[in-house]
Amino acid sequence: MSKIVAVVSLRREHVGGGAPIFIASDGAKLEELSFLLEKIMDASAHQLNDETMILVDRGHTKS
Amino acid sequence: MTEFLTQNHHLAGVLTGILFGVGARLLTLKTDYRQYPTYPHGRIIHISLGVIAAALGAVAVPALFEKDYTAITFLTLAAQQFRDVRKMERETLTKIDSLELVSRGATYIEGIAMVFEGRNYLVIMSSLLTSLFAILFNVWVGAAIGLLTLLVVLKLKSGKSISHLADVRVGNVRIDGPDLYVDDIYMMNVGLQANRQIIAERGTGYILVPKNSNAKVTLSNLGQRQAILYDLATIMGVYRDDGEPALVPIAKLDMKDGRLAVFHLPQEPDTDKGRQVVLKVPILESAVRMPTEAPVNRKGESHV
Repeated sequence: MSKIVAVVSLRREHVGGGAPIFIASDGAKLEELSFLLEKIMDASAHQLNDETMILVDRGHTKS
Repeated sequence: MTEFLTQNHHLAGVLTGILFGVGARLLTLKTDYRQYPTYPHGRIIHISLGVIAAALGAVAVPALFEKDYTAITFLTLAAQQFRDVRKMERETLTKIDSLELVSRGATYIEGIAMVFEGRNYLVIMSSLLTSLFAILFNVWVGAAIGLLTLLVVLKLKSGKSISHLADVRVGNVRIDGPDLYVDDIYMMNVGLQANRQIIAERGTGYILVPKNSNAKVTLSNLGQRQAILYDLATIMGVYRDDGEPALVPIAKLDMKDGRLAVFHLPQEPDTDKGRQVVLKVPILESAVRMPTEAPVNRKGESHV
């Protein structure tokens, strides 16, 4: 099963839960943070809406 | 020479059997774009096993003629041996698979392993029949039967490909916000602008339209889909690296009508060639389903 390894958002009040949360100040920072986290965590970044991205680890399946 | 052959009737039969058995193995041993069996050692292993199989098949006949019936039990030994070959291939390929950028998948691996086992039995069949006829009649009749078995082996060797199951056309890769589509089929959500740009520049898509309801089920098999992705990645190259999970090639089904959409980032952006590659992907034996063969789907037959 996939797992959310991190949440990146512009709005602190919109996100919560068990995964580490990163708050970005603007859209460019959101993109940059997600990019870095994608490379660091080997997890793919998915956009929920304009303000929030989640990084999802699919159990290191290569395909 | 002819005199020697008639005097050593059994020996001549066995030798012809071995000859055609090994011939059958060489005919079926092809190292193609997948480079498997690997060259040269992988090939040496399989040629050697082929020689053993051929010898086992060929000596069974004279043993029977000498009324040495227990010798037949050696054939069971052969079966055991070749099951081990299958196991060995499966294990090796599974281990290698975890280090591929695009994996083969278990179904493809099982298919390859099965082929290795099956072809050794074909070798036994070929050498057994050849030596049987060489000993019953003479070497020339044996050789003729041997040639015939080689033809049968060639026929059994070739499997079917996707072109038998589906029409393939090039699909249009489209990014709508974070969503990636191939034609109208939703593929995945791509979060990063950087990745979206790569996909817009290099992405290729194919749509596989199944030809009938059997094809629909076979195409939906995850192992078959992985085989398509693997072949595309092997032949067309793949634009990705480890730690880039967003750039994996994927295949998604349109659940309404059974069409399969394939998304792939090739090194070589030639969609015509890619289409040909998809058409030539082998159909995996373990993925084939025939729902139309079920009694409930057969017209004019009583439902048992």
